[in-house]
Amino acid sequence: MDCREVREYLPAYVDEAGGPRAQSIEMHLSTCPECRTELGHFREMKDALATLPARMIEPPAWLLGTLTETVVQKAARREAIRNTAEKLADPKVIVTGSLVAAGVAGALLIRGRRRRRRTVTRRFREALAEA
Amino acid sequence: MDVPADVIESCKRGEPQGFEELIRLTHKDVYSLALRLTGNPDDAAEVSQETYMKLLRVIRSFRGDSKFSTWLYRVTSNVAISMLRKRSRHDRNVSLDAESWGDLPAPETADPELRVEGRLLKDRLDTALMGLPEGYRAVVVMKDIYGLSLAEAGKQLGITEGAAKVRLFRARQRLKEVLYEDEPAGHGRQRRKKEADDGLS
Repeated sequence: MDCREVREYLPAYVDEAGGPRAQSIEMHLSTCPECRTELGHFREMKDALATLPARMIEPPAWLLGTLTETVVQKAARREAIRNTAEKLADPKVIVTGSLVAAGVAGALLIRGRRRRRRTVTRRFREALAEA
Repeated sequence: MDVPADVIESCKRGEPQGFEELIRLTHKDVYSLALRLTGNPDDAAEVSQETYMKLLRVIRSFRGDSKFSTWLYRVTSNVAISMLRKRSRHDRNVSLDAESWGDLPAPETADPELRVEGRLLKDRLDTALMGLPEGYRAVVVMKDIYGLSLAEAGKQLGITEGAAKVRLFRARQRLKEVLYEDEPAGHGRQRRKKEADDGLS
């Protein structure tokens, strides 16, 4: 392998020192200081890249407030909806709700019957009066 | 990034105070990754907000198989790549799909800041990264900086693992050219040192 071929493989070799072409590359590197320096550059660069997550880029000052406001508000709404849903799913609430609904339905039914009865009585009296 | 387990559990329960703490602890990491992927501060802020909105929906699926930081980086890069992908449909200047070596622009040589001998390599990396096209930068950022696998990077970019590998090697080559100049090893440094000495004398 000559310098041109070796340098073509260095970006991969920096990960895979044991790859299929490793022997040829290593043989060349042992005799070529320039290519060894090139490999050193790739290794130095790769190590430096891996340190970047710890080197944070300062966000704009407003970002934290905006994120907190938007996301926390959304979380609070979701929590409120979930709490309401959980309350509605509570057996006590279901039983109480069913009883209240049955009571209301019963009251409406009785009220409707009374109303119909009063209407029939009124019409009967009107008919009698006309007669 | 260090997020205590009780904060994660609080977020999983959907508690607003949990999210408030999570944002306080992680927003700089999320923003940094978003900026490294998008290359634009406004886009990075938008990606940060989208990331936390997505977390609201998906944090319950975090099972602790991987580190929380890795999981959060995955979610963030997913949001950023989706945004870049949508944008690339409308903007020719944004492309995640460039495959050929010819699509990579020539190394940026005009910026003397990148060439000043003596500055730490790490200080120049972020600037050099911004000179790469989105599709190449994304692979380097995900794999070499944030430690995601090539398969993961490829999946997020909608390309095969092999294609992601090709992009990674080309991007490394281009970064190395920008950071060290593509001169015979050692000669560039010696020349720049001489130029610097001449300039001082």
